[in-house]
Amino acid sequence: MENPPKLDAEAWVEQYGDALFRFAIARVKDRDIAEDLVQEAFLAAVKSQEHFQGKSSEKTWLFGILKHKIIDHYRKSKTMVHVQDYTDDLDSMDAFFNAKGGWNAPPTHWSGNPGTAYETREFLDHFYHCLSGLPKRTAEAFTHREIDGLSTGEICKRLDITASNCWVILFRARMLLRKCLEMAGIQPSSKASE
Amino acid sequence: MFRCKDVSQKISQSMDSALPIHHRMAIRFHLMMCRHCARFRRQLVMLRKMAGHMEGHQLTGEMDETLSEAAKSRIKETLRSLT
Repeated sequence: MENPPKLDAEAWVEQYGDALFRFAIARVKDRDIAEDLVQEAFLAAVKSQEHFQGKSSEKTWLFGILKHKIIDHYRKSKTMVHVQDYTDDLDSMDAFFNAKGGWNAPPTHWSGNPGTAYETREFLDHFYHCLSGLPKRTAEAFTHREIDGLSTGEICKRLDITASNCWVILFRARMLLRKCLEMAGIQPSSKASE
Repeated sequence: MFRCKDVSQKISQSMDSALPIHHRMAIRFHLMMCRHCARFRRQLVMLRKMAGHMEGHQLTGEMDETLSEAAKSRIKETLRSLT
């Protein structure tokens, strides 16, 4: 693999600093925390720039790192929606199913237009809080997979787990996330709920 | 035949890797009869879309907010100290 071009970290601050800051402050509602998170994101980016493979744009990559920092922040703060921790084996998913293997509480209908659901601020706030309420490794696996777009192979390597473990963790993440969103009473898009 | 418990797991797995054909067939067959699992599958697709859209312009909210000059210099300073 050829080396990616050397990235200019200081130019990033000028080019992306404001956009990253706006994104962060919209999530954490606090200037100081938002600034710290942006700084942490830039630092992490510099330290891991060899991982930047030019697959995504620089901007997307930086946003991906910032999202991790925001989720970490939520996780540390006490205001998160709490989701019960689960152990790593599939048995822990038993609560979702009855003895015959059917749904205990079948997924409910999510009103609204799925095409626009994720565009509403409120909905995305729920999403963030649910994600940050997951057990740490579960949330890490999910963000690596769905936000960073890593393959399960790459996730296994990073989290040092087996492939089957990885699928179980991702399954659990999705089950817990959708349950959490449901419990939060999501109305994905009020204007499209008819 | 797969139960919902197995099918939901397979549906999740199918979003991360290619499943063997007989699993795919079994899932498809199950989904034709089970609206719960069909709904579950749609919701997983939605979760993926949400995760992918977490940086859209609609998220940036306070459009007039900018990183203060002080913060910018501080961040640059920190970055310089790294290299």
